[in-house]
Amino acid sequence: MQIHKALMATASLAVMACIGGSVSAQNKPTRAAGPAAQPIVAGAPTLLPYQSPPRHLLYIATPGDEGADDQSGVIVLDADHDYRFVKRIPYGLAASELPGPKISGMTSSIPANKIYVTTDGGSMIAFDLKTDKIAWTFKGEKVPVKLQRRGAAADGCCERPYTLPGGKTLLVASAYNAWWYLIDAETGKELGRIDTPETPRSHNLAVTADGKLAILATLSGPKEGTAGVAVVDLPDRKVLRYIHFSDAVRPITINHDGSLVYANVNNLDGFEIADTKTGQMIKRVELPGEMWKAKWADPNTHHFGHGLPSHGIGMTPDEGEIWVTDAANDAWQVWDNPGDGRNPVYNPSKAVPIQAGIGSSWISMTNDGKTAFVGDGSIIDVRAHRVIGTMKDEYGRPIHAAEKVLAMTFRDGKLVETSNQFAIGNAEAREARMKRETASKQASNNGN
Amino acid sequence: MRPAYRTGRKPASVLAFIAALTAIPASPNLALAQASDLAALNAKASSLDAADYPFVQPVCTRCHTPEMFLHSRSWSGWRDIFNQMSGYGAAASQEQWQHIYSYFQRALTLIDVNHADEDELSAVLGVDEKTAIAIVQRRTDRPFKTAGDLEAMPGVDKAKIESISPRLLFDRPPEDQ
Repeated sequence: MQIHKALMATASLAVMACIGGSVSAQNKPTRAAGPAAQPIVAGAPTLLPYQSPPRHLLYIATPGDEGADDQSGVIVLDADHDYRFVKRIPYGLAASELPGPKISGMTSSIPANKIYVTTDGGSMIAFDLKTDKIAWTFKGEKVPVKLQRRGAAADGCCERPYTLPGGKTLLVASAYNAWWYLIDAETGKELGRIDTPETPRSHNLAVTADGKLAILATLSGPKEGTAGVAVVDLPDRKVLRYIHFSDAVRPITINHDGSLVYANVNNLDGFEIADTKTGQMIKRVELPGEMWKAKWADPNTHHFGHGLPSHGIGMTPDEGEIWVTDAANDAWQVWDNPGDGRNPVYNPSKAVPIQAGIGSSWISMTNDGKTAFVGDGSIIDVRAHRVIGTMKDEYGRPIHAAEKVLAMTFRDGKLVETSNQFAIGNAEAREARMKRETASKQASNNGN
Repeated sequence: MRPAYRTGRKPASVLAFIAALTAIPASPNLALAQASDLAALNAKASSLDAADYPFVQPVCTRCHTPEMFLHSRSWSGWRDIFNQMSGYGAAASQEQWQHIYSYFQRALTLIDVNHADEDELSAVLGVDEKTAIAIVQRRTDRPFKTAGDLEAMPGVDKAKIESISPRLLFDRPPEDQ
């Protein structure tokens, strides 16, 4: 009887095992069960390693001019989720010191994982992006320097900073003095300086992607008896030549190799173009006179932000368009920039109206050129030439005077990509555009 | 004492054996049915985009059936899923990822017509860049409210819009399903 029971139990188990085995085998997907599929073969193209998803954040350093925008600190917005508010990073000021001095510039370093905020109040503050704490503060000269203009600091620090290729060194304008600091991005230690005696009020700047050329602008011009920009051999730290413009130079941008600099100047709704190899200003580009000259001539309508009709210039990374702010008409005007970039053509159909009466005095773009962030707080779809949103703080207030903006990408809390404060040209993007235009022309010719 | 079977009560081992015997005729059918289900799922997935699915299948059905992804999500939702699956070991070449992105955008992405950027509009609606830019420009003046609004745009394929209309959103951000 016991043997009988054992035999029956064993037979049952054996049968169930067979059934279970065939069922479990079907749960595993088999390529034979479905349509023919391409196998992944050993030696095939490299499989991409796992990467955590990127996070795209927008950093806006406030306050703007004279604290008029009622903001303080670095405001962080989430570009992946409709630019909703993430955080406000304070400067560590006491209540009695808020909102703090006007911010004069901001840059970042990927290897150092830091952002750097310069102030009119005489300092450059480095923030560790892992902790959002102040890592160090650079304070310029120990002996007070002569002040060259309102907003200049007695310790000569600082105006716009720029991160040199490689991310290890910063080039920083002294606050309207005749020199530029080279600062170690990790430690804040001064590594040296570049003197530009003929452009003595250091202000805006741009550097080529290969780090060979720096275009250093002064906030002065013919009336002060100075040049407009210094063209500097950066590795040698020597001025190659100076370039004179028709009036004091204000914001600038450069093309992919720094051979051309495009500059706003005082008393012009438009810009001027200079050749950095010859040192000559080669073209003055004006908005049609009927659009701005009467307003600029009338003292009752004369006041625009920063005291000129156009304070804000940039180009799309592919250099196909020059974007210039037009305070007289509350708009960003666009010039098509064909060929070698020396003959831009005004395109009124691309004008982007912005909030009236606020003034939009700067432009930064994402590295892919798809989105622009402009000084009145507007967010612009560059391809559509349309305002698609507004930068707002945690209370829903628009962030006006948004002139110091960085669009940055993080992975696992580490900075992996950063935009530039300026909207300058990019060699790869330009080359891609030139190829597209050539192909389009050939297709058009073949069609004919 | 009489044996249990004479009282009408069957021993457990006998009952188990009877149960096993009745299951035998069903097991080949069960296996065939599941193979048939998988084939049907692959056929369904392939019908959504036959050109890209051969690149999708070896990567995205290595560990599970297509049933796991045959539903709609926002594009940002799909990107999160791709990253999650990569963390679990899904690996693909650059070419395969391009086809995978193309497949999911064309066939399975919910799109907020009034907020998506030009690249997403092009990929999901099947329009060129010029038309996508025109869509962005039009909606900043006047948001789209219906598929008909979209179909009226030059460069938009009416048949394509009709085929994807369940995935078009006009008055709210995409909800991941």
